[in-house]
Parts: sequence; structure tokens; C-alpha cells
Amino acid sequence: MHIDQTEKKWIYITLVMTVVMMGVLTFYAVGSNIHPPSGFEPIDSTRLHLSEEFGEDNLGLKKNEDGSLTLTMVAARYGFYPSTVEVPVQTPIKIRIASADVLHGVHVPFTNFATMVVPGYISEVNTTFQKTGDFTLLCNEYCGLGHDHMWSRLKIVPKSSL
Amino acid sequence: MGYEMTNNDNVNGLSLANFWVGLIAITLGAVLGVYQVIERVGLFEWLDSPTLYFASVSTHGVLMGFVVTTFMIMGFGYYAATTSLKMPLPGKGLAWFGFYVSLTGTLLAAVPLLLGEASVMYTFYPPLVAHPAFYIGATLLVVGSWFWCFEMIWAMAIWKKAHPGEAVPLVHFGNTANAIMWIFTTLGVASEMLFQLIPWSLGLIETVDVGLARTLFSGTLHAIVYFWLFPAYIAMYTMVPKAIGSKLFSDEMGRIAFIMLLVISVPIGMHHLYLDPFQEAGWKFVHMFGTFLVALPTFLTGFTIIATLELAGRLHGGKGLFGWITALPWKEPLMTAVGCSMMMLTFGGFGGLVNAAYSLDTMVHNTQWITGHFHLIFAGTTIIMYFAIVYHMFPRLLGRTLYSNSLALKQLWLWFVGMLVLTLPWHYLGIIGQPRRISSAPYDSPLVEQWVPYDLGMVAGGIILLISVLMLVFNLYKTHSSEAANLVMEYAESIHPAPRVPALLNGFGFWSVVVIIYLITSYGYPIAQFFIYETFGATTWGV
Amino acid sequence: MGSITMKKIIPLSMLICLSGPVLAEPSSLVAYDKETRALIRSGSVESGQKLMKSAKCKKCHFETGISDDTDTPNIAGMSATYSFKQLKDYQDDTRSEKGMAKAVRKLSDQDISDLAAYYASQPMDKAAHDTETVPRLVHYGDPKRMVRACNSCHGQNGEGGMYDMPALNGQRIGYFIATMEEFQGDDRSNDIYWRMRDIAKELTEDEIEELANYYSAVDPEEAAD
Repeated sequence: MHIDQTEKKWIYITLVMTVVMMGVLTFYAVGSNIHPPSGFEPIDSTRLHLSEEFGEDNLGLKKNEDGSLTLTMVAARYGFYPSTVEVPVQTPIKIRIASADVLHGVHVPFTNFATMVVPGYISEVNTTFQKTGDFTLLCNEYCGLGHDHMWSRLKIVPKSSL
Repeated sequence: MGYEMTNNDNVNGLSLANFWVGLIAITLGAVLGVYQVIERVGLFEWLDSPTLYFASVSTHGVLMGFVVTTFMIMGFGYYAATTSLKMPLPGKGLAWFGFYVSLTGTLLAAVPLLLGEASVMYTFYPPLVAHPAFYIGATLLVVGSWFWCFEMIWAMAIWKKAHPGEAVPLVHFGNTANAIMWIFTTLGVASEMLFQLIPWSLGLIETVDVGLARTLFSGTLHAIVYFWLFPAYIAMYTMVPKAIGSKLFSDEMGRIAFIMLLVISVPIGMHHLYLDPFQEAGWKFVHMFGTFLVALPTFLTGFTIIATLELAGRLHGGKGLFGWITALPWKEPLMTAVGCSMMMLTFGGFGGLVNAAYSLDTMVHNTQWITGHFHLIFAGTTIIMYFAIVYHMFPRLLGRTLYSNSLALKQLWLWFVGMLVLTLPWHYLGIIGQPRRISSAPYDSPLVEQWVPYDLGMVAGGIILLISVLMLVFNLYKTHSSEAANLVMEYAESIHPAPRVPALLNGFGFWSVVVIIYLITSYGYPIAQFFIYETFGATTWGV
Repeated sequence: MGSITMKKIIPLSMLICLSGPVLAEPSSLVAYDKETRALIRSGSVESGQKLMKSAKCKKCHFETGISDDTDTPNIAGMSATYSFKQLKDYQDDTRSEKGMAKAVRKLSDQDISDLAAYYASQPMDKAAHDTETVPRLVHYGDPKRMVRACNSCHGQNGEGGMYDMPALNGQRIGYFIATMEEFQGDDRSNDIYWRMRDIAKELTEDEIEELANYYSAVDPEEAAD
């Protein structure tokens, strides 16, 4: 089988490029613990408001026993609840969000708070917000004819004010 | 030389029928596309209607992604098989039957789509439910295409028996690789349809596990783009060099690229689920590796084709580092198409690498970046080659000259320009946060204002593309009654002809086993977990 | 959160003493889970018709489900899922109204399901659309106040959404306005996750009146003229 010399060089170059790309991603995944939101945690979306974690009382920002912060939210046609949330800047925060009905996607542009919200499963995002300001949560997965209107507010405030 | 084909043997009617269904579908899809971009920008308030918009987006997606592609791939495959293998199609009746099954499915699905009873997007993710006729119709469309797959494999088997030890012509080798890959990849959506969505929409089961449905669908969702891409690559390897008076740089590298696409495309689908909660990061990581591996056959193809083009350019007298580019016969539609296709492949491919990146996808997922990406790489890179294929095949199928070569060239350039105008703003819009699948943007955010100037790009792009499609269809329609001509369908030879190739590059038995093993390792547990652990299904939700 | 009966104060206060954080009751105890959905599906229109007479629903709501005074809601054509929840909420006292609480006190779950099925089968009254133009809130909402379009949840034509999102068409004007005011004042709070309370609190009196005139049916007093 004949392979041209120049083509052979190109094959080596592409293999190196591919390995480098995979290497960089592995480095950040393993080293900096950067992963997309993942994890198999089933929950009954039809009884969400009666559950302990996603009952109305437990939604919003809470400080845990060990000092860490958890933001618990619900995605339901057509909004994210609580509809206005305040979080401190430059503080690690765990966001737990579940759907009360259908498939949703949540993304806060210019942050890495982004995840699918799938009925039957709990989504978890771990992030640290870098800048203060007023941001919006936008639903970015078609969830019905009112999908356009599904959004809410996220205020990122200085650490001292919370 | 070879078998003398009689009139009864030729598949011209069969190919033309398939091609025309695809062409009608793309015209209708383009009209819907223009409606959508105008509605979405909100230029005319009387047009605002989520009901109409989402029915249109669903119809547009199904037409473009499922109907146009499947039929054109079948039309291409049948004609390429018989003209390259120089033998009649075994069981042509079966092929026609498959065509009618697919057509029936398409029409069946079209009814609820157009009536707004299937506004679930072309991805039909549950628990939003459509009328059962939609799911049944879509399934029939796929089932019909399995007949095509069977024909491709059967033809190759017959030819190999009649030509022991010889290298299967590259064109058919590619089409058969595609057929086998399509069978593997449709297993995902077929399972989702048969065991979940159809019984669920008929009320036979009350709930479906949304996580399982999405996982099964992800098995189809990526490889389907390679199903679409195969004919474009095959045309680049086997039709372009001949049309520009040159030879293919390397036949073996073509085979290697096709085999890699067959083996790697299907078991990597989980990159469509990067941001989904029900899969563990480890599995997503595994799929990420495969997703980067599948970039390799595209890198290889890029080299081989550009090398082929350079050879041709220099044969035409081009000198210097880039002189060969202008020396190429751009007046040949296949040349213009491949040139534009390669340019769009660089942008679209780069976008694809971003999407494949485990950590970067978070920033672009479900934003307009994604819409821009797949329109550029699919509607751009792939479809423009489909146009060149029909410009080349129609005259030979009909025994007439192409109605207007200059119109064809204008149409291709217009498509290229329109595609860039449509998709490049979308990429940027995605980065500045615009979500996809919205019919309006009623957000209280300064972002909304920032989006407006780029939104206008998609309106301009959509209109340009519609004009281009109309030019295409007009040209081909007029070809049916143009001057008679005796044109032959011929394929490229390679610079180093290889009448014999290693068995591994001449058959798919071994590679099919590799796919099965790869599939079990990459999808086995991710699917099994839904049956091992207790999960909660979702009932049907209307839009 | 409506009236708290003595029956509830004592166990609640025990909870406060015994446990750490105080957990208020959820806004509604009704969830559309598998069992509830099956129960609602099993509702019989015939049985509902009998019950409507024997349980005296028809006294205020009439056989047609269309009332004769502006403060009593039209329940004709209300989705069975919505009516079921409201009746259960009255029973659980997560929605408070003395008359309704008394009316549903003795009803079983199946009774409620049957009544819901019966009134769902009755033809809905028509929206009068008695405004000069379509109020902007209907299709566009007001992004500045995070008020989404009414029709995003209540049906593209006001005909109702899924489960607990009722039709707005053909309602009674007085009831419509009173309901919005109850959401505003937290007197009605069985909207899970504050979905209506959040919105109602942003609307002005004029807007509520305009929406009432748009969606509601012609008032019986007016019709009589």
C-alpha cells in the first residue's frame, strides 16, 4: 500500500494535534476539576414541590453546616424559581436545579452556570462567579410555546453584602 | 467494458425520484427558513406567533435534516453503485419499495407537522409529545432507508464474488461504509421510537424515561451528520478529480478515511449530552476522546483533496505557492462546490472542535453558536456538494446537457455567500448569550439590544439562500427538457492505481465487529444504568 | 397563608419546639404524580353529574358551570386536572374559602375526580375581548417587571395550559379581579413556586381590570340589559 511522504507527515501532524487537544482537556479535567455538570441522581419531578430538597422552603441560597453555599432552584414552565436570586462574587457555590415538568436548559450568559434540566433527574453545577452585576438566567431548550418567556434574574453581589 | 446495461437495468428513474423528493423538500424548507428568520427578528409584529414559528421550525428541521438528506443520499447511492460497479442493482423492486415506504412516512409525518400537532423540533425530545403519526411517519422514513442500505451491501457482495481479489471501486466502497454506519446509528433512534415514543404517544405506556430517550437518541444524533457527510466526501474523492481533469491523490487514504468514519462516528454520541445530568462525567470524557478521533478522517480528507486539487491546478499550468488555485477550472460546478465546501469546512470544523471540547461546550451549548455551527457545516459544507452532485448526475441520468452551467455557478457562489452571512453572525450571537429555539427575545437584559444588528444578518442570509435554492431547482427542472447529450458517469482514477488493496481496506466484516465492540463499551453502561436503578418517567406534555 | 385552624397550630408548635428549622407547609399538597393522574383520568362524567346535584354544586355553579353573578367563578370547561387540584386544595386548606371548604368537606377523592370530569365536559363561556386593543400583557408580557405573557402559560388563545394552568377565557370579571388581588395579597397561595403571586404583585389595578375585560365573559348583569 502506497502512502505519499507528505501525506505521512500530515498524518503525524494531525495525530499530534489531536493528542495535544485531548491532553489539554484531560489536564483541565483532572487538574482543575473542570467537568460539565454530570451525575446520576433520579428524582420524581411530578412531586418536586413536596420533596425535601426542592420544596418551596428550601429554594434559594443557603449556607451549609460546613460553610459552603448551595443555591437550590426549580425550572418550571415558564420560569426559574426563585425568580430573583442574589449570590456572592468569587465564592464557590453549588447550584442544584431540577425540573418540575419538561426538559429545560438554563444558561447565564458570561458565566459558566449552564446545564440541561431534565425531568426525573437533578442537575448540579459547581462554579465561582467572577464579576458582580445583574445577570439573566435564560432557558435555552425548547420547552413549549412559551419558551421565549422563560427567564429570571441573578444578582451577583460583593461578598460583604451577604 | 464490463456488463452492458440495458434500459431495464438502469436506475435512472429510481435515482431521479429520490433526488426530486429531496429537491422539493429543500425548497419548502428554505421558504420556511425565510419565514422563521423574519419572524424571529420581530420586524413585523403581525407576524409574531409562537404557534406558527415552532411548527415551522419543527417542519424545517425534519425536512432539511431527515427528508432532503435521506432521499438525496439514496438517489446518489443507487446511481453511483450501478455506474461504478457496472452492474444492475440487485432487486430493484426492493429499492422502489423502500422509496415508497420512506415517501409514505414523510407524508404521514408532514400532516401533523403542518397542522401544528408535532411542534417538537426535529429532535423530538420527550416529554413534549407529538401526534403519533409524526413518530410513525419518521420511523417509516428510516425503515425505507434501510432497504437502501441492504441494496448497497448486497451489490457490494455480488460484485466482490464476481471480482475476487479486486479492489471495490472507491465510490461504492464509500457508499457501503455509509450504509453500514447508518444501520448501526439508526438503532438508537429506532429503539427510542419503537420502545418509547410510539407506544407512549399512542397511550399504550404512560411514562417514558427522558434520560434513556435522550441517551438512545444521542447514538443517532452525531453519526447522522456523517451519514449526510459521506456522499459529499465520496464526491470529493471520486467525482471532483475526474471533473477537473486530474487524478485522486490517494485511493487508499480515501478507504482509510471511510473506515474511520464508519467505526468512530456512532459510539461518540454522548457529546450531545455533555450538559445533561443523567450521565457521569467519566463516560462523557470517554466519548470526548472518540469525538476528537473522528476529526482525523476529516483532517485526512482535507489533505488528500487539497493535494488532489493542487495536482490538478499545476496540471492546468498553475505556478508558485498559490498559483495553482487560480489555475483550477472553477467553471466546473464540482470545482466551485468543493472549493466553497473546503472553505466552509475550516470554519465549521473549528466550531465543531469547540463543541467537542468537554469543558468549552458549556459556554456554547444550546446557544445560537450551535445553530450557526450546524447550518455552516451541514447546510454549507455538505449540502453544497449535494448540489454539485445533482448538477453532475442529472445530465447523465437524463441524457441531456445541464440547462445552464453559468446559472449553476452563480447558484453555488450565492449559496456560499448566503451561508456565511447566515451563520457567522449566529456564531457570535451564541457567544454573547442568545439562546436557540426562541421565537422572540422578551428578556429584560442589555444583551437583547446587542443582539439586534447580528440578527439582521440571518434575515439577509435566509433570503439569499432561498433565491439560491430556487435557482438550483429551476436549473434542474429545465434540464429535463434541454438538449440531448450522451454523457457518461465516470469516476476518478488515482495517481497510484491500486487494483488490489489489503482485505481490511476492501470489506467491512472486521470493522463491523469493531463497531459493535466499541458501541458496547461506550454505550453499554450508560444505557444499562436506566434499567439497573430506579428512575422516574415523565408523562406526555403538550406544547 | 389563609386561616389557620386550631387543629393545625398545636402540631406546628410542637414541630417548632422539637426540630431545628421550621418547615412551612408546601403551597399545595396536590402533586400530579402517577396515582393522582390515574385518579383524575378515572373521573366519570355521569357520576359527576349526579354529585353536582346531590352535593349542591349547582346551587352556585349551576348545571352548566356558568354562574349568574360576577363574583362566582365560571367553572365550565375548566380542565379536570385544574379543578381536581382546586377542590383538593380547599379540602387541605391550602386554598381558603369558607363556602367551598364546607362544600368539599365530605367529598372523597373519587367524588372530586368525578365532579372535575363533569364540569370539564361542559362548554366554556366565551371571552368577551371587551378592550379597545389586545392588552400588551396578553402576548408580550412586560420584560421590565419579569411579567411573562399571560398566554405563555394560559394557552396561546387563553384556552388554558396543562395541569394547574387554567383557562382564562370566559371567566367572571368580578372573580377574575378578586383572584388577582388575592394573589397580590398572599391570600391565595396555592400556586406552586409562587408562579402567580410573583406576577400578580407586579400588575397595577388598571392592568388587572383591562385583562379581566379582555378574557372574561360578558357579565350576567350586562347581558340582562
